Amino acid sequence: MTNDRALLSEITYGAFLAYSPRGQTRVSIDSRRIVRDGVKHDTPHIIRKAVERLLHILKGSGLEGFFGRNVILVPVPRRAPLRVKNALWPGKRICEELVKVGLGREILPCLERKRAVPKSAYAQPGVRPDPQVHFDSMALFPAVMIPEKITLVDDFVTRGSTLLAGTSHVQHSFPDTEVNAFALVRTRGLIPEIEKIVDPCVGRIWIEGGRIHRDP
Amino acid sequence: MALSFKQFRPDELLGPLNEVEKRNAPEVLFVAGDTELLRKGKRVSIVGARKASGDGLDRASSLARILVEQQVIVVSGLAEGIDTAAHESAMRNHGRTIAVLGTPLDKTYPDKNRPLQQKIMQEHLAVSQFPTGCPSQRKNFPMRNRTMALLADSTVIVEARDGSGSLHQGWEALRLGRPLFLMESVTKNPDVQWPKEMLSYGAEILTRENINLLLELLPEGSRDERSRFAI
Repeated sequence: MTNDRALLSEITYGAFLAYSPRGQTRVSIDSRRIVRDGVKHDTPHIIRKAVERLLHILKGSGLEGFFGRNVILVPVPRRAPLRVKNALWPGKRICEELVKVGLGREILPCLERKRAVPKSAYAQPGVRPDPQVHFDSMALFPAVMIPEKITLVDDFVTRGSTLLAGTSHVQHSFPDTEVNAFALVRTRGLIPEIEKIVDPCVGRIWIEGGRIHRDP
Repeated sequence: MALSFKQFRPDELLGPLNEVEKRNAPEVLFVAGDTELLRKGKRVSIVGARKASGDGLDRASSLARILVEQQVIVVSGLAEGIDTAAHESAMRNHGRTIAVLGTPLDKTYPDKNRPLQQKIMQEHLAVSQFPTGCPSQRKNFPMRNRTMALLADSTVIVEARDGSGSLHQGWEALRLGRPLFLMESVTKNPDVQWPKEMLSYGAEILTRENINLLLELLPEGSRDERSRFAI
């Protein structure tokens, strides 16, 4: 049985920081050396500092609706199952910092990865795991609560397949809840250089013509 | 020439550790050699079987050569077989190498690698979490493997049997969220079960075609630089 009926065709997403995969300006290089590597490896205290900055500039950023004391945060699972509970889980680390500063009520780690998907960075465009592959690799634990609002939280958004798949699972289980998706960092691979690292945005991720799109 | 050993907390060499890293990190690292190899640069660990096949030794040597040509520091455990091939190839190809020992720095295992250890202490870097006088025990080697996973940005397992000590390092790399690669040849070996399990938890297959991706995934800056950055 496939789950294609449950995969949403479009979601709203938000992101806070930006990184350039290949740019050569100082800002682009810093976005890789500091932001990409720091968030990916949870280098102390990059995530905490990013979340504190988010709190500082939240008003007027467009991201206000993603956070607050009424929002349940769902960390997006890593691309492979965790073998032990004390493994690094960047999405959960970001959630912890968000809750600490009052940008979330609590963490609901209800979404899990049942099996590994190939790392997007390893795959050539066109053969990267599509949203359906991500969707089929995830499962959601049943939860007894009916939250008013949920925000899925991931470390990075590249094409958006993971966020679309995770949001689909959560929205399916909480049909009456407003569900949003947030990534601390968005990859900006289609422009040669980025001008700033702190670059909050709200946009959409959608499937059209069998392909996934993200804007911005 | 008498060599002097120094001791540091891991964060004094690597920069600040996160909570996941602190969990299995040793309290102290004893070092002999150039500690800048832990403060700067990209590090990849090449590990595998002591009783390695000829092909496995060739693969370890080739990989070490490719890495040092890209200024990557080769980290291994000074054991017989794959580890020795990796260290020797790194040095032969004018690169840098770090030996992470399962013995105190004043001991060598296997004994025949004493000249290699001396050369690494003098010209590169040897690291141990075991103080001088600490008895050699089997449990030290898996501890050493977990430490090696911490010191390396990425780990490659070239060849290993089920139950091999290298597997401790692979699992620790995955726990730390560091890239773990398995040589394609070992994933095709029908005599071992562990690659399938590790792949199901996020290890990647290393082929001739995707070796650049191993390099692309290495962090570009130092941990200290990252932790000081003001967002």
